[in-house]
Amino acid sequence: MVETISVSNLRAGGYKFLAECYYPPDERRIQVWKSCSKSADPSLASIVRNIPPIDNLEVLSVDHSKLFVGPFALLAPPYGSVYLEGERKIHGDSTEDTLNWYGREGLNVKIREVPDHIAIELEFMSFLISKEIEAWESGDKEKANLFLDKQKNFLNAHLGKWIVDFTELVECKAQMLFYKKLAQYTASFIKNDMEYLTL
Amino acid sequence: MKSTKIKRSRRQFIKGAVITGGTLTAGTLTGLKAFGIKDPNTEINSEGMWKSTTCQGCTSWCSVQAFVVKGRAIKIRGNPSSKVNVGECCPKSHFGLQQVYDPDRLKIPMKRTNPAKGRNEDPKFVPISWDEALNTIADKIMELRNNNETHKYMLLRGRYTYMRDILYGRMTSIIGSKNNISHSAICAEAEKFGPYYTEGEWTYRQYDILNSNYILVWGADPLASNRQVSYYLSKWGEALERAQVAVVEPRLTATASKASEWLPIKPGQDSALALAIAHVILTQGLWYKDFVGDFNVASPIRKFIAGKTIPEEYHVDIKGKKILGTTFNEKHSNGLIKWWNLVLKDKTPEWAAEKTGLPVEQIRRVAINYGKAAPHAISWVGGGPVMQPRGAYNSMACHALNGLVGSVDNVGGTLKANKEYTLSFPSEADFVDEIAAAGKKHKKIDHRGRKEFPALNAGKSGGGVVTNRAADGILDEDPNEIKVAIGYMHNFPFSCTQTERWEKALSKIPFSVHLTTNASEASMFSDILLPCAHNMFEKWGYVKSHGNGYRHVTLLEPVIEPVWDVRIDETEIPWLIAEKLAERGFDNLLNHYKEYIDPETGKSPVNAEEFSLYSLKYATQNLWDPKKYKGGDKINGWKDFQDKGVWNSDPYPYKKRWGAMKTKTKKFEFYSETLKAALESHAEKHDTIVDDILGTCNYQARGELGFMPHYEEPYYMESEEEYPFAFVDFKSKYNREGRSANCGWYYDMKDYDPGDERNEDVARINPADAEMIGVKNGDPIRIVSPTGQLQCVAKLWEGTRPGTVSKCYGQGHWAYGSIASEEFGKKARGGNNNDVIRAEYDRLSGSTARHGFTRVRIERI
Repeated sequence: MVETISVSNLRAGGYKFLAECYYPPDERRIQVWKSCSKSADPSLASIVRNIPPIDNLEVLSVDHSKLFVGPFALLAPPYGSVYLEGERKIHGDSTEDTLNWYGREGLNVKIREVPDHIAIELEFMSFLISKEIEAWESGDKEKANLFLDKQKNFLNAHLGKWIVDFTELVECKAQMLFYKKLAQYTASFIKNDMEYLTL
Repeated sequence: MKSTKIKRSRRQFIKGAVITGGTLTAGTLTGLKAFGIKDPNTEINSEGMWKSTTCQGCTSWCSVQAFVVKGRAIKIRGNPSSKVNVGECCPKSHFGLQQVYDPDRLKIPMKRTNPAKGRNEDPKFVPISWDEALNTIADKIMELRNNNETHKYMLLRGRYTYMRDILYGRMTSIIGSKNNISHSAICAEAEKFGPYYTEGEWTYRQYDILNSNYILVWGADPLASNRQVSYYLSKWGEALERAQVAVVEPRLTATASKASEWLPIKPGQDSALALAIAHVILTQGLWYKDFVGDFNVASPIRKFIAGKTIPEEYHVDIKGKKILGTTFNEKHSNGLIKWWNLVLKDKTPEWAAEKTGLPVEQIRRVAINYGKAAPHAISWVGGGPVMQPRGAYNSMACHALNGLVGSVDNVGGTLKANKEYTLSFPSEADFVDEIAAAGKKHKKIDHRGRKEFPALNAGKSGGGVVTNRAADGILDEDPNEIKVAIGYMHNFPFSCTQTERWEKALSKIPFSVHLTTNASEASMFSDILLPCAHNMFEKWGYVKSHGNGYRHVTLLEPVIEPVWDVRIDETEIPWLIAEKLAERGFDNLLNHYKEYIDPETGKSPVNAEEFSLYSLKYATQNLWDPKKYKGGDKINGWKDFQDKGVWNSDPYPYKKRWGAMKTKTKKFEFYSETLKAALESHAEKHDTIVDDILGTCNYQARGELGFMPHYEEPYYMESEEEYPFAFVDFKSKYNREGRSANCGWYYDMKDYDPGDERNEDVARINPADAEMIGVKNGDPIRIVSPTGQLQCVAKLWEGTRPGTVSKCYGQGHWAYGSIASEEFGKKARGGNNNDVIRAEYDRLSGSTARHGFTRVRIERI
């Protein structure tokens, strides 16, 4: 069980870290990214190594904007419904379903973003894992397994269904190596996690 | 539930998976960032409900309702409470859903990081906070004020509501500039010119189609665009049971496809046809005597005979006594005989047939049938015949037919807007300080009122805007440079003709801000972008509109939670700027805005949200407050008004204006004393005579002709040999004012515009012409004019008059969303008509010309 908790801690941390990386870069955030990866595995370190120097942060910011914010054609829309509903439109039925997922866990989205934004879905996975950890720690194996099921089901219904298309776009359209590596890492992280959850 | 089994150990997992490690654990990034704890007591209505708001997809301004489920708008319908759009909406309304939920929308404030401006310069926008954006804007405005340069501030206005005066009027005035430039003159100001200088109404008409026996439509397509599209779409079938419909237009429109007659006229020749119709009506004795009057029974001349002048007075000997009389006793009109003698007597159908390319018989038939339908006969004047270089007189000529048949203000005819009771916002006069007053003494950047730009809105020299000319003013620093510009919901580098002038002009302005829902071409040249609330779903405001014999005042309401971090352009943003100016010691604007008191509580607003709501309640109080009731629907308080979403006027009072028109003579003026006074006043201002003004402004009329509806030749400058095709621009039934281009449905359904194709931007060429120039269906082509070119696809179509090429406006965005542009900043999807249309004007109205003067050649690519 101790091992499982450790794995889950790492998984939760991984999701949380990835969620952070999809927000607009700024100095504080970059410090956090760097601190998170100090003793990380080589893949993660290679992402962080590609963060440009702080005094040249603007180039990263411009790239992030073009990929995920705009203002013109989004190069890699970070919204699930764009991929899941076959129409370039947000706030579809699949978005509504993410809200149902969050609501069932007693959560609502407090930031002004669409609920199926990549960062929000990644953070939700981290939340589900932290609930699983809590359950293990309190000895409630049944509850822990319930949250493992939820993680699997959420990935199957949402994040896992669109992450490949999304990360392929990011990898293809990003100018900065940081986002290319981030996309590769995100895709493989989730792929492996989906495998892990079906074990 | 089957549990997921943890079969593999942590060690195995770490070996097999690429997973983060070390210090990165759940504890490292503590707390929830995106999530809050949901209040378990919050009950969300999952059944959904219809919420009232307004569609601003075109200037119909239909009152609509959105079906909202858990804060998400799902579908749209017409508001059943509106007597103007009678519970109907048109396809454009539904497109609103694709706009508000467009992933390419502007989501947060952004600033450019590349200081170089130009079409080929990527602005490299990055997000900034609202605070940083507003501080920067306030600093720039204060710089102008501190240097006594407030006249170098400019406000550009595109789509607006009647909350406009807060940002467009009051803010510009209190800062200290006269440069608030609206889009009106690229829309349809010339449409208002004819009605004003004949019947004294500078406004759009409503048409009483259900009581009409003949509907003669000029360059308008009421089943697709123009105004009250929802109403006409729903009632046109009923109207057709009673009325004949004739459509004058070089292309087969949606309306023409269902009409009794299509008159595929040569572009620019509308007034020739209108005058011939008037000629026939008079020679056949079909004018409406109860309105126009009749020959004096004692007059020896009692007929209009082609080619023969009629003396205005007659002399007869009765028993050796000389009797003097007026030949024609006009009742509610003025100047008919003058008009006949100086204009109409030779304007036979034969004469018009040569000009218009229409058969003599068709001209005669339409004229007689139209005349016989008097007084229930509509002459419906759209943008086609009037947004032309000499369109003011076309506007008069086409509209004057309503006077001849007495359909003005009459059952089954053309009506003005009904009375409504909204209030103006408080005056800003006390808050215009010395610096601002000095700034406001400077002339406007659009050159209105100059000798060559009379822009005679409502009789006043320089009374109207010359939108498109502002680009030249900015470029030439004439009368001064512009240093700071704020523009909202406009896209002049796309929507104005000869677009490259606006690209250069906006590039020249050192600091400009674009308030918009979607970044567009205008954003490319901006320093700061502020994301705006979508007018149909996220905004407070109101608009007025008329049709079906009623006027409604309909509310724009925030029916959903704003999707992103947006603010309301016309209320919240000026308030936020006012707060920042106050922080810098200039609090006049904020103090003025604090005077917009909530009529219910008497409270002054303390933040942007309150200001937005209070200002709306203030302006509309007479409609919803039972204590202030003045007429129309009885509404029981603000909450009731919010729920209904619309107030309707009393029914239309027919014939009330007969004999009481707001013209100089109080009559319908075939000879316009009103225009004469306006032109003379403009000439006097420039120390010259009217003929000089007319010549300077490219009109052919001299003398008395200038005061009457008359024929002017189309103002072509290109040679027919080099540019053999007349270019016909038109609007789609799906154009949300040029903002549909990022909506997928636009392309999916484009073939519902007669002659157009799905997923293509086509130029429609008559098959006979196409054969001559060797162009086949589907060929990629280039359309070239002396001022520019565009690329699109050829469509061979019999619905295009030979000698013309017709193409829909709306596509050709090179900087917009992912659907609208092929490749951002580099390759447009389709072509923009404004790239081939020269910047030319109908100078009397100030309008930008779009029709009847552009020649092009077609090249295969």
